[in-house]
Amino acid sequence: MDYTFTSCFRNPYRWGSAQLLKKRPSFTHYNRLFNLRRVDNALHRYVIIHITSHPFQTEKYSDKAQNHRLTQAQFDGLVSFSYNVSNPSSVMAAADRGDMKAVYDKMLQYIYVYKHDSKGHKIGKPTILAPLYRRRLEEAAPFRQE
Amino acid sequence: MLKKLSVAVLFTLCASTTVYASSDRETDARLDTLMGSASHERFHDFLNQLQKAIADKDKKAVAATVDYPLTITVNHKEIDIADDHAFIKAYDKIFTDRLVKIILDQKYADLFAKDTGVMIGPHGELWFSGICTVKDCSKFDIKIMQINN
Repeated sequence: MDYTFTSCFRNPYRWGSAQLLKKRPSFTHYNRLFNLRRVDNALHRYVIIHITSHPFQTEKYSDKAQNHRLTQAQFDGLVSFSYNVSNPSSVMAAADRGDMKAVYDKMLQYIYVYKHDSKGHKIGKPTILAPLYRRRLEEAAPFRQE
Repeated sequence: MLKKLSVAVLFTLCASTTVYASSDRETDARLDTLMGSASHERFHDFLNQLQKAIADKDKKAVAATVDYPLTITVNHKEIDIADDHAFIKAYDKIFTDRLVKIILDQKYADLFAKDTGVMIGPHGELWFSGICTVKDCSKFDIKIMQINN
C-alpha cells in the first residue's frame, strides 16, 4: 500500500512539533506548517534542525513495518510516534509482526517524563504530562483491539 | 492555469492566516486540543495568577506554582532547586528584571503550546504544563516545569 502524508494536513498544528512529509521540504515550507510565530529564536532553529533530520528516519522505520499491512491511520500514528521518541524500534518491530495489541501497549509506555539535575542525573519521580498522554492515546488509537 | 493560481492563492491565504493570526479563541482551541476539552480556562487562569504573583513579587505564590525538584538555568548555568524554600531563597536571582518583563508582557493569545506544555517568552524562558495526578490523566495540576532565565 502506498501511504500518503496528506492526512497530517487536516490539522498541521496538531502537536506543535512533528509533521509527516514524504519529501524533505524547504525551511520556508516548515515555517508555514508549524505554529512558529517567532522566526528568530533558538527554539525555531531547534525545531527546524530537529524536524529536517527526521523525515528519512521516519520513512526508514515505516518501511520496516512492511510485512503487515497498515491502515492509513495506523501509519500516521506510527510516523507521529517516530518523531517523538528517540528509539521507536520495539514498536515498529511489533507493527512489523502484525501484533497490534503489542503496538498499542508499547506506545503507551512512552508517556513518562524524567527530570534531570545540573549533572544530568535523573531526579524526582517520573511524571505524566497531560498533553503528551493525549498524544500517545491518539497515536495508539488505530492499533487498539476491541 | 487560472484554476491552479486560485488554488495556490487560497492555500497561501489559509496557511498564513493559521500561522500568523493569533487570538484568545485560537489559543483556547489549541489548548483544548492538546490538554483536553474545556481545559483552556485553567491554563488561562494559571497564566493570569502567575503574572499577578510575579507583578506583586509574591514569592510564596510563585513558589507554589512550581513542580519540584526543578533545575533552573540562570545566566547559562544550571542550579538545582529541591523545594519551595530553596526556590524562594533563589527567587531574586531567577526572576531578573528581564525575565519579569517577559512574563508580564506575555499575552495569552500569543502563547506557544505543544505536546509537552505551554511556553512563555520568545526563547522559552518559562514552560508550564498539566501534570497528571491520576493514572488515566483525567485530572491534572498545572505547574511550572522549566525556567530558563
